[in-house]
Amino acid sequence: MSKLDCQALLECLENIFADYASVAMSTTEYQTVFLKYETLADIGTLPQCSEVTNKYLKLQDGDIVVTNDPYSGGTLLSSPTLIMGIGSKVVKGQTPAEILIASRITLTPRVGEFKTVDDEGLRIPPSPFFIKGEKNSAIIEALKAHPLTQPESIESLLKHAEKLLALRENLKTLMQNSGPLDLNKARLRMYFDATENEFKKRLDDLGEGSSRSELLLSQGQNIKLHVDHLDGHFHFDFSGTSQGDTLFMTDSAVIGVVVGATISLLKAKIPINSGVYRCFDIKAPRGSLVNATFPRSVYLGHTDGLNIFANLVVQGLGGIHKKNSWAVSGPSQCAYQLTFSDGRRWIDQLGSGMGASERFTGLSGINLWSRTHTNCSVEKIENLYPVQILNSGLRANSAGEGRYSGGQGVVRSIKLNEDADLHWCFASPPHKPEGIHGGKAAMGAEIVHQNLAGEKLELANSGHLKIKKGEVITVMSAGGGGYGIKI
Amino acid sequence: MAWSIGLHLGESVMELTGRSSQKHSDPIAKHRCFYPQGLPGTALAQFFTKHNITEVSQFELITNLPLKIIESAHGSPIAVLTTLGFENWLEINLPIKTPHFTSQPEKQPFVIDREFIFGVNERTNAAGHIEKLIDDTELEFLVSKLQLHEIKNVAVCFLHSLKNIENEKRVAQYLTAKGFQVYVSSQHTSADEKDRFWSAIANAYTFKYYTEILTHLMAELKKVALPDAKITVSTHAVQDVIDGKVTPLQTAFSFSDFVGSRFAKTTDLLYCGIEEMLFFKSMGQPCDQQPMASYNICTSHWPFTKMRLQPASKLGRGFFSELTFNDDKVAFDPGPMLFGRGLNPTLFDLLFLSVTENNIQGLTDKIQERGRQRFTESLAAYARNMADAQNSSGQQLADKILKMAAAKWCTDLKLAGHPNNSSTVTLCGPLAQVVQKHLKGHVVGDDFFITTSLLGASL
Repeated sequence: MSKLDCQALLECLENIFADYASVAMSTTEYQTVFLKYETLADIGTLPQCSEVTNKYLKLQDGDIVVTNDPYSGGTLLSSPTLIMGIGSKVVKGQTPAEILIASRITLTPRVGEFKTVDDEGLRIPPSPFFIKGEKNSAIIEALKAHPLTQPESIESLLKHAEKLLALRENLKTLMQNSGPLDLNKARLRMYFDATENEFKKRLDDLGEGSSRSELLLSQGQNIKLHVDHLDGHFHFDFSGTSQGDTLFMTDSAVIGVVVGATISLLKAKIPINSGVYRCFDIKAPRGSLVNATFPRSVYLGHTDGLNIFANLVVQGLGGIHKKNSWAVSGPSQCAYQLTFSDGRRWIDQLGSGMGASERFTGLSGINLWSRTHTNCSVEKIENLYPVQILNSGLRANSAGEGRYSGGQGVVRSIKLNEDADLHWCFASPPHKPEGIHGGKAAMGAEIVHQNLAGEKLELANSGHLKIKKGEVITVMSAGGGGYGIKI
Repeated sequence: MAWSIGLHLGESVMELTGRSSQKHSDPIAKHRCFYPQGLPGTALAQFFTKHNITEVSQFELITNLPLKIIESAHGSPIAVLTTLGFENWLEINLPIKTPHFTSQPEKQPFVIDREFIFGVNERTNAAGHIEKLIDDTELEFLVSKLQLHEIKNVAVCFLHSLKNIENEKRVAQYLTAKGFQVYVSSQHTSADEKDRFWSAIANAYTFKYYTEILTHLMAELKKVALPDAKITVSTHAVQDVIDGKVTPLQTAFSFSDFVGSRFAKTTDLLYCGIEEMLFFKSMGQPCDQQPMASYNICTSHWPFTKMRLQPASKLGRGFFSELTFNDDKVAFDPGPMLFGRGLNPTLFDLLFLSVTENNIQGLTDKIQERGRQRFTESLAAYARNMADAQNSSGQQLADKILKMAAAKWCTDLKLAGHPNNSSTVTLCGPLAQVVQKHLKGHVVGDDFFITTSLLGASL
């Protein structure tokens, strides 16, 4: 298999999945052939979803399984995954899957402080959604009847399942012998080897060596990381990380953070498949906040937590080679939710400032570790909900200064035209986003409540509050730290 | 004898057709050229001289130039007046351009200078009630600032202006009276204010350069135009665009509207132009929004999909291979390597490397033997580097990459709603014959098909 053949295979896969946002293609031997991500968690959890599902349900051609369970390879409950089996060889009257496609959609989340994963909403363990291409009415009706299900969620899932089934036919044709997607074992092995070789060639940019870093999240909650990079192989060891109090991640999400944050330091776009995964070893002690156990809630860990962990991984790699050091980016997406008396819910979040690095000023108001573009419209929001947005723009002076300054955070003020319940949940480490090599720290995230008398009160990182008509909520996201001493 | 002229004006290429009488049987004069930056009038004058055209009774222009000015960020500095508190609103909503995670992500380019975005103390609420009326003293101050910076074109973008246009209207009247060219967002219809704001901005941003080019054309046309000559772009008089009575966006889709509405009513059509390849889905109805790189433009037009791979798409290093397509494009000056001066290999070079039988006026004569030789040598060098276990010649490499290009085009056709079989698509335009070799499908008309049809439409 020549380099050009590998390139052609990669482009063929990119074409096939061009209109999918978050998708993975794996073999039933759990080798990841292709992965396209929207979030860091996708990088680790999509292959895990396929593996867990097929291990227990032994998918047949045309079977589609639904799950949103973070402890079965899912991530947020509002991001369910459909796993479809594709097979063409009939064995004893069955057509076992040879290829697994895991595709994720994003629905409206719930924002809040949750103690367990079941408090977050309806958790769906891997369940047969379609059987041999036909709807599984029993499961679909049961999901529809559940009080925590939003009817539009099931419709979105059904629509997505139909799209996957149409893709199955196309894939079967392409996967025939000598077709452009002939994924026989020998070809796959060569493809993964070529990926690993090309990936390793690019690792010169990262340098070799080891580093230790530690992040204190709150009293009694810390993450310890030892990174080792030698001969194109990475070892990330989280031994010593505490059990956690509010912030938890699953082990598969941690894989996503480690791989995603590492490849972000390389100039080239890296195709993610088993050839890349095998360059990483990750040790995450079970029961710690980097390998949470059921029934811990992972909502905060799989939103803001991803950003915090990614900052730490980048910091660890920066400790090996100074060229890669990067100031801390605003960690919280500042998610909040307003619920009105008629049951309408408005969920909002803000981009934050990115940390500066050598020769690069941080971007302002972005969600660095997500490619989900939320197209927010002031007029639409004001037409749909009893609120008036008083301002929405970059937060002045929120960036850390330096030779290269960090990006600015965002500020948004909302005046309520009706009473509402406010829920918010920001993961905010005790210190502000730090600068490096003499760069200044940025301002941290804040949320302020202004009552009818005009008195302003800064709120805690998370909580629940009843807001009266005419009162104003101001949400301010963090900026990014600066790099180097400002001359 | 009076002539009818049709002109398709692209960013670098212009195609002209002319007929000397009202009879369809008369021969048609055809001309295609790469025109010097901003000076299409010179090429028009040469066409008139060559064909001894001394009288023009009809002149019909189709173009997508305003869209190209936006894409290439060649517009003029403008000011944006927006509701106070929302000065950064458009900027913070720009999506990240880089699809993968990176330590140096890029946002889509922001064409407005932050210094020239002014927050105005005004507010209309969601019910359309004006909570804060514009204050003239604030406008006086703004005018002095704009004059200081010699800004002539202004976009006025207020929240809920569709519900109540009063504040935008007052500002527009005030600024117009002071000699500014003003575009208001309430001129456009969209439930998302950002689309309306960007549309007003697009008009202000493209006005100067676009009208300069039209003025240059008109200067030549006036020398030969009869007093009652009909000189139009889309359905509008060209002079009205120059005078600001018609906005740039009202004519920005004149090319695609012409192609789509005339030829894509019953068949899926892929227009294979030198500058761009556009797909028109049959049975399309005019739509109100056109997605650009980071926002939508609100103007009623015939829907089309721009193919991701264009003739000027650069070839560069991929993850595995040293030669694959990347997202950048070359400009037509110096152009592809085959033109002799270009340094970057492009899809155009691959398409025309071994083409000798297709004579495309104004294009194949630009291909130089020196350029062909240089590209062939480059390709052979790439092939040697990438040979691995399999021996591969430059031509084999070119064939493989063209196969990848065809696969990408097929994907785009499929995503745009064409059935999963590219052989059923109809191709037209100057590159149709060349593209057909790789994509299949069937070709209609010659390489002047669209511009000749334009002439037919005007007669």
